[in-house]
Amino acid sequence: MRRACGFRGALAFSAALPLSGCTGDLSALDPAGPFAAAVADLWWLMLAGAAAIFLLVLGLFLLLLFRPGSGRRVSPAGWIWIGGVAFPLATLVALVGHGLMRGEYILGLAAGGDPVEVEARGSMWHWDFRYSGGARASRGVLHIPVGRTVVVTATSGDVIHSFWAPRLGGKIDAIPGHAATVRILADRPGVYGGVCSEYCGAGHEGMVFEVHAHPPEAFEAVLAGLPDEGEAAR
Amino acid sequence: MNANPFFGLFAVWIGWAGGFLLLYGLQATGCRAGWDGDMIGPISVLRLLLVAATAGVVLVLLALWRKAGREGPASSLARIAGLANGAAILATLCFAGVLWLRMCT
Amino acid sequence: MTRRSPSSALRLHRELTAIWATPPGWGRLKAVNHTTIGKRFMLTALVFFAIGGVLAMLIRTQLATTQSAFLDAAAYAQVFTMHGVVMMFLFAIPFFEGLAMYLLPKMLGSRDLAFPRMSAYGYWCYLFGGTFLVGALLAGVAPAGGWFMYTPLSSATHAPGINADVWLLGITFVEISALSAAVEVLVSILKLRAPGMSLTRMPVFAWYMLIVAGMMLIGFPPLILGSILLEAERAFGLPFFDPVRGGDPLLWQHLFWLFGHPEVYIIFLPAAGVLSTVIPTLARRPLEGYEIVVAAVIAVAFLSFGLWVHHMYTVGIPHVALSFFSAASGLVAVPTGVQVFAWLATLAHGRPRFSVPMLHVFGFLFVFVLGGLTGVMLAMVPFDWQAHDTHFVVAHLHYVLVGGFVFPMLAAAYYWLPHIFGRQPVQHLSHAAFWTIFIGFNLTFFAMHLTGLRGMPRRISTYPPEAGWETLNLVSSMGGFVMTTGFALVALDLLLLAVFGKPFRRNPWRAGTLEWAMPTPPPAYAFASLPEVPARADRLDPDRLGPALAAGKGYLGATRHGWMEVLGVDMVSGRPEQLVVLPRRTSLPLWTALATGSVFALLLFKLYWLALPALLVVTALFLLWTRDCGLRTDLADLPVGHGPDLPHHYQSERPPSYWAMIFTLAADATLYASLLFGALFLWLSAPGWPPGLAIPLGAFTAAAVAAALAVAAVSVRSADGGTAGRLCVAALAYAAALVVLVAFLADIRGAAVRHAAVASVFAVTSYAVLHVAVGLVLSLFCVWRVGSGHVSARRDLDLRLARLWHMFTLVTGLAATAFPFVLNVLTGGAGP
Ligand code: HEM
Ligand SMILES: [Cu+2]
Ligand SMILES: [Cu+2]
Repeated sequence: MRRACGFRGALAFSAALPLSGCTGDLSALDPAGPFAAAVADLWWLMLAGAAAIFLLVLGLFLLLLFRPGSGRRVSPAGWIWIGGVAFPLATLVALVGHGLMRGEYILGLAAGGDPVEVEARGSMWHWDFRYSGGARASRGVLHIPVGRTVVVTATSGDVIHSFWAPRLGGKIDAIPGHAATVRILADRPGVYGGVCSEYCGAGHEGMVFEVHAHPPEAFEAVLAGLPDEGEAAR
Repeated sequence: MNANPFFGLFAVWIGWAGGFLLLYGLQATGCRAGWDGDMIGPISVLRLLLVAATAGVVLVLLALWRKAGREGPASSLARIAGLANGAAILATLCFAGVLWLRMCT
Repeated sequence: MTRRSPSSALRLHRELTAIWATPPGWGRLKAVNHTTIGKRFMLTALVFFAIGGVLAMLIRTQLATTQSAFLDAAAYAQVFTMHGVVMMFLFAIPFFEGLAMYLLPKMLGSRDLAFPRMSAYGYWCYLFGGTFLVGALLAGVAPAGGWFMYTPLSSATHAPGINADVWLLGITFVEISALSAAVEVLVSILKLRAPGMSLTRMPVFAWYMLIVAGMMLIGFPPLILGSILLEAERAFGLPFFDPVRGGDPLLWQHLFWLFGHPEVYIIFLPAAGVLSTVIPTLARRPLEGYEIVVAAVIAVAFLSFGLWVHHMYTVGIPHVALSFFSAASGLVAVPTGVQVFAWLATLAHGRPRFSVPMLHVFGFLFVFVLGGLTGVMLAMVPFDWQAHDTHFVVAHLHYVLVGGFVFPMLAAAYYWLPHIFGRQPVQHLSHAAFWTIFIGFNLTFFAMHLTGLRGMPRRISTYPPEAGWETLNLVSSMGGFVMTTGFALVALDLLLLAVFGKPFRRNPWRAGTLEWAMPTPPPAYAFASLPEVPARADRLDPDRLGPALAAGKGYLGATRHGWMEVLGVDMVSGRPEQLVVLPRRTSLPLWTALATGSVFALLLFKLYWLALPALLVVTALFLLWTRDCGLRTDLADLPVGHGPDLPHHYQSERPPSYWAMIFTLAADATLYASLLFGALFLWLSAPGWPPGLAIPLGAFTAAAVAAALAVAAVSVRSADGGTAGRLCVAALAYAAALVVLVAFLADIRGAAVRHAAVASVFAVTSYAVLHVAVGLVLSLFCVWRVGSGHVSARRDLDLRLARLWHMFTLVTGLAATAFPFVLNVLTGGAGP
């Protein structure tokens, strides 16, 4: 299930930090489904752009400092309007537009038919998952089918927690009194890590869970084998 | 420049802030009232309202811009005001999402 | 004014020093001088920086290895919370406040800030509040819910100890200091400048601080409100944030971040102002694009209030709403880019010289640009869904804060310490110290980006070996210790400068700003006489101006009656319009701050019946401040050395105190608006609405209060024979309103703890009670002032100030009486 991170990743990071790859059970850079992949791609794109802009600005600064007079040909207004207004404005409008499009994609993609609905209920300090309106339930392990969008509704009965399975999608806060959703999707079977990512007291770091992604047929079987709510909580 | 120079400096930005609150509030109220489900043709009532409100905000800001920049000599303060006000007009780009993004999810 | 010989320059110096200087020994407790208070603020902030740094080292020690047993989870929570709190509230804000206090009067060609006693009061509040927070840490009862204290984790159920109260009360106490500094800075910049310095001739640093102070005025009230509401929930059970009883944890998040995001720009902009001052001097060329830079700062100020929800992308807000905030977060990079390129343009067209401050400018640019770039990444909604609350964010926020604040402040230190100590650096350690910090910083935080993307949430004290985060964390921890060494080197370097640096005559950087047109270290009175400013005030010639001013050739180059005199100018044109006589040094600010502190301490220990009398003591002490203010006889206009004679400020139409009142009311109005919007937000978003119980309406209360406030407001008119009588009518009307309102509060108390709707009515009514009570005190105060002969037709300032309050109380009071009716309609009219 560990996959070397993409070619661009190797390129960008092997120079800076040879010791660490991008893999790991919780690595957002090691996506295991289209949602996490959409964000990881966005990251590599932004990293490349950021590196270019950083080198440009720092290069200009050092040039001006060590080759005094080299910037005189451009008028002060030219510096400010081109470098400070036109360039960032164009870049940012494009980037924000692109980011919002990716957001729409993640919020809209219904892979494999109707999304599966599950509820993730955070309590100090564990996760309970409910399927089919509570007829089936599990604690600490979330079962999902492969290749089908899963809509996770996060709730909480005590303090704020946050549901996050980095390799499958983004996070969503579980806020008492609210029920917000996040969409996750795995494109291959496996066991993926999950953590609570909103500080929730002394047990915060232990509030981990696993997501088991099963092939569709196996998923139905696993689900059928789960106890109901009351039993799972015991 | 206007009688109160600070009006000239901040007018359009204050309008922008007001517009921001208006649109954010309208969106939240609309979702609570379920207006995103009421359709007029292919477009939801909520989107229609938000687009109209955005257009209204832009028009008001343009009017404020003209008013703030009209009178007075081309002083340094007036130039600063012109730049600040222009930036506020540009900042209405923030609201472009009402045209195409998901309303209530 | 006649020409003076050098010996008369010396005499002038002696006379002015006798009037302005802080006496030695215990007399130091009476200090109100901006130079002294500014230095105290900065020094105290540095002590807190060191404390925050030690906490950071504890964090890094804990995280260096997997499954570390150094701190347990509960202790770790206090450590990271206090690290954030100390760095944000006790280091960054007070440090730039101190810098601004020290520099502004000198850059603007004045002798002090508009309200010197207020600066002293602010300092003491800060010192006591900060000590109180750190004391709580030492006692092991420090807040432990993270620096933004999300409810319900910080509510009474989940945080039953006093830890959260320490945060709420301590921070509010410190905020009082910040708000008073904001009012003071605003008024000082707008009114106390050298003659001829129009707005657009101000040094650009003054523009930055003007806008920052305005942002503080609007940005801090939401947090103060949030803290009051949360404390009211914890102490009295008013359920503003409890979802079971009609409250909403999200209300806290909105209020906090409505403050919290502007806050980071409030911290960055003064630093940018420093850069806009230092870079041109080092480039030997005035700042390019002054006008567009000012416009950019205005743009940042407004945009920064439209970003707060980017801290809340993961709470489930619909995409289109997120897009507003995402776009604004992206756009705010444009005015920042404008400033960066204005600096580059200045360098391009100047003749830059490489010096120690420039080294730190390099450090700033390198680190801040990286932080800005990761900031833009985080502004992208889907990316934030992944990166939010991980160590990626920790990396980002330190790149921005250290790059955008610490490095510029180091540049400022190397640039202005010669001014403070009158000595130039020795430069043995400066370079080594810089590189140690720079390398250490990047080692620490660059690695953290990757730790975060690989899934490490923030605020965890241990992590399993399988996670694969250990190498990166070890790198971070080692970098942290390298950086700490660097800061120790800087401290040593600056100490060496203060002790062994070589003295210099004037203006070592060949700067063009006024603060260098005075002897260094600066005398308490700053300028022996005030300059006339004929050009933009970063293109002046301090070397020529300095001696002339010292010889008393400018404005106010002579003393009279032992008065502390400065000039008040027209806000826009800089034309002199009044002679402002500042109050003398006194220990009243210290006593008042102590009394204020005891109110907070009593609240903390829930001794409410003692807190009330303590509050009365605070009020009485504040009233004592006014003994020094005002005149008992009408004065003719006074000569000021050049130009026409000017009126004493007490007899002028718009003295500084008038503007201070306006700005205070603006902050107050923001708080009130946040409260009303908060209630609307609950109606819109909170679970458990509409409330299952009736909203108390109190038609009689509403009518009675409205009538009383109207009577009070109209009965205070201009000064004549009947003034005292009318003031007594106003006082009676206020007293009546107070009784009715308090009775209403007592009436709804029971219902207020059952649902947030009623609790909101309770809060809005309490706001009115507070304002009516102050109106009562002000009316009686005015009666006293009339009796003591401070009021005449030409000296009606006290009445006019009070009148502003009465009008404000009338408007907000009417809104308060209407509020329950509006809420009743919104919730479907269950009221009686
Ligand atoms: C001296 C070098 C510093 C080091 C090594 C350091 C280290 C850290 C670390 C490791 C955390 C994350 C704690 C966690 O999530 O478990 C943190 C949090 C934080 N730091 Fe620093 N820091 C330093 C300086 C600063 C400065 C100068 C500021 C602000 C001006 C600052 C503001 C913060 C804030 C606001 C947090 C968030 C606290 C929270 O999560 O509640 N730090 N710091
Ligand atoms: Cu949790
Ligand atoms: Cu922010």
